[in-house]
Amino acid sequence: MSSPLLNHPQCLAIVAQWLLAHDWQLANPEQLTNHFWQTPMPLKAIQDGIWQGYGVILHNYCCDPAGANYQRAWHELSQWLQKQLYKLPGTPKDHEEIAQESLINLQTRLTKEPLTHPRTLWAFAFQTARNQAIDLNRRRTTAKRGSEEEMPADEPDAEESWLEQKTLDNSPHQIEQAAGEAISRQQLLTFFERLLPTRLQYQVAVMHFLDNLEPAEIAPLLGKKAHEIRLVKARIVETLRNLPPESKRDLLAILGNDDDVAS
Amino acid sequence: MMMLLPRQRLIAALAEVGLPPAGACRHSQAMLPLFVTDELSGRIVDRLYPDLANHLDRCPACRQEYADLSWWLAEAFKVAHEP
Repeated sequence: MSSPLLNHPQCLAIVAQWLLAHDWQLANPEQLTNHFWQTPMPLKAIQDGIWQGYGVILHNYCCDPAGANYQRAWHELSQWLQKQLYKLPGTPKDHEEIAQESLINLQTRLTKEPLTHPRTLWAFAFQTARNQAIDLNRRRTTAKRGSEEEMPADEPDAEESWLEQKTLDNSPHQIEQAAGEAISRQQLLTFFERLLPTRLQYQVAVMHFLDNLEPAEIAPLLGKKAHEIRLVKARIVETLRNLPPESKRDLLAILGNDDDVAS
Repeated sequence: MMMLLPRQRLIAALAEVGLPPAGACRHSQAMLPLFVTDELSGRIVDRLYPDLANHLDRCPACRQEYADLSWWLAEAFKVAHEP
């Protein structure tokens, strides 16, 4: 069943409520609605339009130091970020420190170069705050160790874990050969059932690998969020890559329907 | 990138091992705000940004950052679920 479509007056009412609840003062409901309104739309599309549309407005004011709304824009971003940070573990003092440093970084960044996609302002602010939280934790760890020596920079690349991964036993030629053969859905269902520890993983594996659905398409079917499905999918992929050689051979044989693949 | 057929997806999942290309994590992290924003608003990000979607399957550090940002953004705006 699809969500009911809401008309323009209903949309305006939702936008007005949202602006009031967040104390967002840099747009009125009509202005903000104009950013995304096209035709009657479901509630979720309106909500997405509101926060992304206001993100664009806020971003543009934050990038304009000469503008009349510059101070207000940074005040709103600051208030919002601090409110979100309090949802995380840590002391109020930590949150305050992270918020202040994040805002300085954001201000420096936005003054230097506006975001390519202004609607991502909120996610970008989160990412900046997350990096600050990691930095703060690193500095404290360093201080605790009583060392002046800098800890290694936070290199996100996870090469170590990649190096630990086992390489596939089969040659590319054999994989291609397997791909060329007919797939046995029933065999794969049985294989997934045997391999995957939870019902959710099984369902996601079937929908993604056999029915060709993406996480955003699977999520509503299972009553989950897309990112939750993506994380389940990643665990399945990890399980597949770490299969014992024997199971990997079984799977490739199913994929190729060809006993020679395993040899 | 072309869309993979179902069995190709499985084979790719088994075959893609080894180091991600140099700079892949930095590029992914620069793209993450766009990826999570679009995903939360229901866009099929696996088709819009297939390289990043694939990278997230392979890289635990970027996946953790993705999970944090997605959770945080969803919490912040409490987006309604489609039935």
